[in-house]
Amino acid sequence: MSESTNTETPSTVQEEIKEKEPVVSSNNEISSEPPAGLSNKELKEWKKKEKAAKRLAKKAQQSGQTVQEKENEAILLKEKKQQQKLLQIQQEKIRVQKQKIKQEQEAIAKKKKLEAQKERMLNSSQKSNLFGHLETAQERKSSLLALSSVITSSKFGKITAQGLALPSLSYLSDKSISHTVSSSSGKITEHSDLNESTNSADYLVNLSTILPSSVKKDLDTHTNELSSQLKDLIITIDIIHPSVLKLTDSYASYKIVGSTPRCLALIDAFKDLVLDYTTPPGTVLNRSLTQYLSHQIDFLIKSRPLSVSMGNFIRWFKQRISVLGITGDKDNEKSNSSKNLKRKKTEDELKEELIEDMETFKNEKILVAQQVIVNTASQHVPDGGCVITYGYSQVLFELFKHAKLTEKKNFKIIVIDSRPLFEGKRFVEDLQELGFTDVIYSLITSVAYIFDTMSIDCVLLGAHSILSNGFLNSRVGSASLSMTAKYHNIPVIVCCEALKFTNRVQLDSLTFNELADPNDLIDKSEEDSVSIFNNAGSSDGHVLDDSNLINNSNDIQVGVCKNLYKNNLLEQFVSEREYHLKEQQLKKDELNQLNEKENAKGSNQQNNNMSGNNSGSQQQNSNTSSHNGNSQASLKSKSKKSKKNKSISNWENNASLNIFNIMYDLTPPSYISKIITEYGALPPQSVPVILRDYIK
Amino acid sequence: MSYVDTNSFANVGNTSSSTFKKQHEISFEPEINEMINNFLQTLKTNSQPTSRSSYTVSLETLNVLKKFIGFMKFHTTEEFMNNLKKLDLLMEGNIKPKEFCCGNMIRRVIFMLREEINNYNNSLKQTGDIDEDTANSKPVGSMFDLLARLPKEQPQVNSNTKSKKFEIRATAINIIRELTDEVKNIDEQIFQIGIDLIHDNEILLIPTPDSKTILNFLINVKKDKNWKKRNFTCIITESYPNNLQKAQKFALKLSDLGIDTIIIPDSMVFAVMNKIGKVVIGCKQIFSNGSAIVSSTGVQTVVQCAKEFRVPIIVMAGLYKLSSISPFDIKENYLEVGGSKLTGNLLPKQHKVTGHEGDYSRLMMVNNINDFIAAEFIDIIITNTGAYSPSFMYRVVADNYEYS
Repeated sequence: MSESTNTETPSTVQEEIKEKEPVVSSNNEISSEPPAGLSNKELKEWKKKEKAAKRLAKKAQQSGQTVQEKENEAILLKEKKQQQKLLQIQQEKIRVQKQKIKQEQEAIAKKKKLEAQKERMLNSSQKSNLFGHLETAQERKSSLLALSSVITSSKFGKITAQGLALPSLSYLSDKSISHTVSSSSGKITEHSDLNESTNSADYLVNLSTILPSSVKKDLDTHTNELSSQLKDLIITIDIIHPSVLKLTDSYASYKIVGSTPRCLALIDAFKDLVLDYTTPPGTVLNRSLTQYLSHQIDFLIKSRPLSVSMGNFIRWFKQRISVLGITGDKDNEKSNSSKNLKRKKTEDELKEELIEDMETFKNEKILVAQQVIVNTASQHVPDGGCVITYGYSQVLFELFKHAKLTEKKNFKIIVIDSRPLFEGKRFVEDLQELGFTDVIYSLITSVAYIFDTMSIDCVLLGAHSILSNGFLNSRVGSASLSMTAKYHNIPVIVCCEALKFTNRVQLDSLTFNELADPNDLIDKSEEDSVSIFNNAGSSDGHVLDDSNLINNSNDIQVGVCKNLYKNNLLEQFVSEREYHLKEQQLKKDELNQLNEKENAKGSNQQNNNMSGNNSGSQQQNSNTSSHNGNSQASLKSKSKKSKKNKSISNWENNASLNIFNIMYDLTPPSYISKIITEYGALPPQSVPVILRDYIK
Repeated sequence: MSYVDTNSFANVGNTSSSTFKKQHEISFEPEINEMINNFLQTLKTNSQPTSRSSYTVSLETLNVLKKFIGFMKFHTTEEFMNNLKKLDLLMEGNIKPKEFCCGNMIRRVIFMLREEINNYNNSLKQTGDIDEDTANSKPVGSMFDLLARLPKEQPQVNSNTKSKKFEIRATAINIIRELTDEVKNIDEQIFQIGIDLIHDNEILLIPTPDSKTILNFLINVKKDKNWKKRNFTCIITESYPNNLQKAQKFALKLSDLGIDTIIIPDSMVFAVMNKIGKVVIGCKQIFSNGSAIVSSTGVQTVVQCAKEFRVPIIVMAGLYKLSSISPFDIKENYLEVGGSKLTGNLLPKQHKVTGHEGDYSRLMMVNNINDFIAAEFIDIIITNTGAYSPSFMYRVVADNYEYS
């Protein structure tokens, strides 16, 4: 009996205790009790026996033998009691031990959690000690990838966990996007429509159907805010307008760069959006449209943060929408006749009104403003002089065009450029197309030399935004340029639409900035070209230059998606996939070996091997067919890279190495001689005047 | 693909050297000529001027000098010295992208030899054997005399030095050995001086990622055991396009040692400058007025930025980089502008819309290879003999090159 209770859990012990009480109250029928109640029964027996013993004691006076027996029995009972007590103590001990174990386990789990948190903290804090507060390009990218994967997966069924179920390349682009683009007759996208649409399709399909584990890791390791944001976005993903999708793509791949072009593209996209928008029943246009817009913008932000011009436009637009509803209603009320008819019309009318307003906004704030700026600024372009500029600016392009073509001035333009965007190259190309012959192209490193050796009349800069404390926020590097100009006493003139003025105040470029992808600074083609350039020393330079060009052209043909996610998301996926396949193969081989040992039959193994190979090759085929051989090329490059363990390309694994790539920097007002806007030319100190009195 | 290059600037400095050559018609024994020509040829034809470090050049020069002295046939001490001077002229005049270290090394050797000779003569004087010391004890007063052709010395002096059996060849080779040791072992001394300038958690900006001196200094600071450990962050500019790969290698080397390393593009210098504690520059050449030439591009901008933000600028260099030249017409004489291969890197790749290659025949590109830092920007120059303010460098030059 004692053995059986030994093995029982504490819960049954409690049952025992519970069962004791009723048994004690009801003194009868001990035999019906289950074995757990034995002790009571024995107790009672003992009592009875005591009574009986007393009775017997009287008899015992007659015979002493029985008394001894009874005493023996009593001793036995005592022993049994003791045993039971011991048992209970043991059980309690077990219970306590189990509790302790549980507590320990919990503590360990807590510790692990803490450690994990610490690790996360370390991981996040180890790198980037200057820009930890800013959203990184990787975060943006991973969220964008996750989102686009959701888009495609919702339209095409499933991404299988194991592989990519690629349906076709004709997602979105060929039908919806290209259609809308052509219908909208967007200025920028019109002429290069075909190429771009296919490219964007490449990007969307190739990359979005894949969610490599690295991205998942990113999403897991990042803060909860990001994932919750993502969830919000995913919920609303279905209502994202295709033109916004396309816009997001071209922002993210730097196809549309620069504050003004981005803003223009946004306006065009919003026109499409308003055209296609239908108010859901039961709501008013102005309210639902604002909500709808904010979803679009949430998505758009994931490509790159909004530029100030875009922000200003969006703010104006939202206000316009809200005002539009009210004025429309008022008009309806005032124009008393045939309310119903008018109300039916209003939706379309309002839309038209909105689109017209957007058009006027675009003209007023950007295009005409640019013309005004060009007219005022052209006095600073000296005939026969020399002008230096930085990167790409649309206003400056218009200015040079105006000075060259309509004013027939002859002047030298020096274009300073910087990594990694090389906007200056584009600027040089555009200028040469205009017929400029006297163009000098140089990089930011040689700025000092250029200022030393050449006579320069003035520095002309575009702007990303101008802050209300007079700081110029522009492409990173323009501050160095204007500083050198100031050092040489050469005036710095900034051409900027008033749309780019902002109320924000900032003192240095680190507190608020846009972090671009650091991997842009170590892309593969560049390494190749550099290596070629190194070889060029030993042998003939011309031939090698040609090969260099060929390489570059190949890179361009490979497509935009590679530029966008050149860092490997695709490669990573493919390599992960290969690794997975290899592992499977290995497992199968092991199994086969076991089989061999056990059965010593070759037939099974052959079959297995064949099947394994088949599956592998099939998947490989699917890979290659889907990426048009890109994957193989990238794999090769990847393997090459991995051979060089010490190469810069795997800097992300190096805890103490970091690469920064920011987009903008701040030029202090002391370097700027003049800001030319459509409201006139002003010193940087009076930027708040414009903000206060002219922009409402 | 052809492009206009501003390479013509580099040729300006050539004229003076050719006149020198004509004046002197320098030539030695055929085997020596061949050796020197080979050396000069490697320096000249080295397609990538940035790949030559002044460290290797000076070591090579010393090597050549050793061979030269070994081969040289001479009868008198003066002849020996004259030959060395000739070699100096030949080397300095002929290396078109300026390699100052050649001249530095030969001049140092000449200077030290002269000191030895003088000591020897003084010892002779002390013994009182000879009184005809007029010609010999006043060897050469200044650098001008060094370069100028000296009038033939009196034969009695020659006989004198010859008779006393002053082993000039052996002393010269000893001196060269000494110098080689000095060139090789600058790091420890620079580290001893430089470590006091870096505090814990300092952020250093290094715009010259090709500098061996800086690399060794940083490694030494990190590995230092005698002092309290100090952690510091290195921000390294890429110096694209000339030294991009070197910058990346530099960063990798530092980060492998656990030094926090950050690579930034050159355009970001201004944005980052207000976080930086010190700018540390390794240079190619220091002139007697305290200015320096740096073999990576963009340093001048960095230095201007640093001055703008009141960030101290430290230059680290071995004494062998110190030149007795006072720079004049810097842009014309000392700054080199990129070779076509370097600018070829900058070529725009393809036409955007049409996909055809654009016509860039009229596009001029500028890419200078080295930068000049004026003395006013430099706060401290750390050499292996001590830390000096740039305005004091002329004294250091005098100590090492000019006989007083």
